[in-house]
Amino acid sequence: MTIVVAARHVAKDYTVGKFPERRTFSAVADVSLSIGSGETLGIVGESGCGKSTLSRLVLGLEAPTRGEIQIGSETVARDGQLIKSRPRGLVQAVMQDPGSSLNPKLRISTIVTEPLKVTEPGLGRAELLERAGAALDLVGLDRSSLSKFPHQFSGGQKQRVAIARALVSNPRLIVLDEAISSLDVSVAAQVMNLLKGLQDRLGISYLFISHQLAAVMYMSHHVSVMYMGRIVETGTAAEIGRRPRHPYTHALLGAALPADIVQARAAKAVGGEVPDPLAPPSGCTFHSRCPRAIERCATVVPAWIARSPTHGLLCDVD
Amino acid sequence: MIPATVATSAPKRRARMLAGAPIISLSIIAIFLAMVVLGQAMTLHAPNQINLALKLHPPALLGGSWEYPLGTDWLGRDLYSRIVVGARASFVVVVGVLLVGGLGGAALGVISGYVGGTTDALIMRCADATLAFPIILLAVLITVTMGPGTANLIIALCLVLWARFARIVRGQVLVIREQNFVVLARSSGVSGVTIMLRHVVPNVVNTLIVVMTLQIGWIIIVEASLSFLGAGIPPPTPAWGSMAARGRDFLTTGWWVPAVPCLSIALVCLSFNIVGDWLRDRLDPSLRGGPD
Amino acid sequence: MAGDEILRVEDLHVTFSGRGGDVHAVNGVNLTVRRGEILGIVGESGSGKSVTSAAIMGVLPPAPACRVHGKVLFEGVDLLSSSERAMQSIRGRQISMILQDPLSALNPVMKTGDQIAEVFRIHHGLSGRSLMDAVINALKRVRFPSPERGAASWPHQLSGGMRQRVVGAIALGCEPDLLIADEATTALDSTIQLQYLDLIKERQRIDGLSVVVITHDFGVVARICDRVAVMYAGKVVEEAPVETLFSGPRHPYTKALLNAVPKLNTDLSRLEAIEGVPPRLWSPPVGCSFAPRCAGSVVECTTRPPVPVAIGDHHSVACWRVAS
Repeated sequence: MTIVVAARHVAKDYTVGKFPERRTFSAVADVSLSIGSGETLGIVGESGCGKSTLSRLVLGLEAPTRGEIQIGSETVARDGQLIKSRPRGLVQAVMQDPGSSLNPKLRISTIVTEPLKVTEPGLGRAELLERAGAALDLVGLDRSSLSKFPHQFSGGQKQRVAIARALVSNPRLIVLDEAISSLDVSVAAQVMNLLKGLQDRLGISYLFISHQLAAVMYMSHHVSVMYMGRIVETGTAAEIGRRPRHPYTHALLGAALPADIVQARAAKAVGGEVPDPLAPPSGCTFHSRCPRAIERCATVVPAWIARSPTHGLLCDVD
Repeated sequence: MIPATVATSAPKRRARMLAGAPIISLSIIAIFLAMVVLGQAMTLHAPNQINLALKLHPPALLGGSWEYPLGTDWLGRDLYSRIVVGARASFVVVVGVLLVGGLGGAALGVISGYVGGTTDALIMRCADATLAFPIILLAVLITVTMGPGTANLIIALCLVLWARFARIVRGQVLVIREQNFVVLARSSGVSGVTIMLRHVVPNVVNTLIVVMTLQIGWIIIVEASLSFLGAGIPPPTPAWGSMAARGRDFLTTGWWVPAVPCLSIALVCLSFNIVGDWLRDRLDPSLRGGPD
Repeated sequence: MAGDEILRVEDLHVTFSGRGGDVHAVNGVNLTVRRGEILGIVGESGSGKSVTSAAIMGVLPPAPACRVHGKVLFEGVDLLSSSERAMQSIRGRQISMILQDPLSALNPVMKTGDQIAEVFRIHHGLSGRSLMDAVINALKRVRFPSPERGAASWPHQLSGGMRQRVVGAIALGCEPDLLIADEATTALDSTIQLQYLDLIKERQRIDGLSVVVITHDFGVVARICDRVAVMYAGKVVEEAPVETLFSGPRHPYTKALLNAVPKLNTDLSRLEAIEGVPPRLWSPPVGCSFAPRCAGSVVECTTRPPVPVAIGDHHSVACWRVAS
């Protein structure tokens, strides 16, 4: 199994405030992950967990403060720097808001061919249009869309255009950052089916980031749960869904509201709120809300325990 | 919550675009542009021809003759013809300032907003410095030190006006920069320059057009004020401002001499402002209609 | 728990004049909310659910941009024909609304406590000590931790969940009889959402508050609603007690929508997506709006719009196939 993307102990710190009240916090504290070819890794977490920052790091929009990121066999980020000769086009993205993902002033053909102009600059106009047309075929849009403008499309169709743009350079990985969160339920279902079909056909890998637990479980082969900048549990979708081990994963699953009366009414809220990232709790960042916490949890950052080759968690009380 | 707009056919859209257009203002601008383009061809007499026998004749509607429809000035020169030719002088200044100061300021605003960091800080501090000066004073200082003439006047106004454009455009760029389509372009490896040209500029053009239109009136007034103060376009070239200035000595003997150029300035300024406001409402991408 | 009616919407029609024509956002909606009951209105974008709630509150744009017909009877009084002055005394005191985005619902340059105080000042004329007590009580009622500190804080200092509680405190401050919650928990994290929904349920239990919950999320409906109305293209296509809707939905759209939601822990390799695109509100089709996307439409579906038919205990469906 070839590894398409790997991240090792990646962290991203930000400083806020002006002198003398400058403070540093870690949006991503310590994340390691790897995605195999043709597979989907789902990242699930609530607001402030660092999943958006993680997506920016994988896309090369910012350099990680610590740690290493590899795409294929090439290291693209290390020691706080981005390697300039990063191979382009291998990683593309689809974002949350389809409306702002497409430049309203440009035609669909210009939008969809943009990545190609970077990865294959020698292509002529006819070839570019042909590749764009092929990408639109893949996402189920008519080729006549090429001459149209974004405002002529609905939200779901715009997201398909965004997917076509992500596909056109034959990427190995597409980062889907809350890509279905702004879509209606029925449209989201269509798009998720489309993405799965494309994965079967083309062997692309996905990094599927979402706060919607059920969608992550549906789309992903493996799932990582993030809390305050760390991955607290990773497993296959079945392991996370049926045999979760970390208390936060339990809490997320417990708070999910399925479209079922019995399950929805059995859901339990975990107390408290996500702590201020500028003043994270000592030791395990979840200990203040954890039903299992012992004394040690308040002082010692937990270690990663691997329960199986695919299933591991960050907890000292398991 | 309120549903999106609805698709329309192309002719209907064009009709809608023109609906509510300020006809009078557009007509005044059309006449102004005709004067600029046709120049001498629109005049009735040679604008600089002195004819002391005909001095201070009133306009046609106030007792004069239709041969000199807006009257004559203190040297017997036809006011109407001088207005026509004077329009060109004002127009040249407007175009010069918009092209150099407006486009230049906008370009700096794009760079400042997109690149950020030290570049942004530097450009904006320069802009702040320029904006802090009283405009007329700055323009007078420049023309007095560099000498009179149209070119120097244009330079003076550019130095004063670029900062306004830069600031407004930069504000827009800061918003555009965070839009997903820019972020996606960056993550696809598109170069900064290409992003600025392909993504940022087309999205600031609308604002730029509106700001430019709204500045036209201001430029004309400043040029007129400077000419009034003697620091603008030198005589004998007719310019509306200097015509008003020289004419103020004749307020009692021939009030139309300063009044006609002043009214012309006011009408053209107002028209450009009204059209600018109308454009601001109209130049909206949602104008093209909703999903087909 | 359920008593007489507190709200009755009768044959509501809302049309917007758009640049290209009229958009029929709501096409003949009938709804009732009984006292102390939580009614859920479920739909996707274009269903007309938010426009309906705006019509109830009377916050739609005025004519000619927006034309409203029908009746909205609150405690027997038709809100649509009430004066703006009458509506102002009803809003915030008898009917309150909370919306999706807590950040834009709060004034960033006013302290939290002052914003809550506004409702009391306007509707009850309170001031001084009694005003401060009312504000603290309002925060306690929404289980705001450290209410005194909360009242002194600025909106930007609060998290999303806390802000939404403040919005709730303002809405519930004068103990209204009816609360309209329009996607109130959509922007909240799942754990916070659950806390917030439980808060609303608690108000129903303790104060007898009636609630209209507008959402696209069936999970929210399953958690706190007593009855549900499903909307599509400006009409109510199915209405039922919540247990009935989940155990035996009858309208094809309801069934399809329930199947399109991903479920935890099933081994589905494909979701059943609804084919087609959302409804066109500017030129409504002659028959049923859902017919183009419906797997089992019959001839009548394209010729006449279906009317709601009672098919069980408080269960009605607008579908020719079901009615026959």
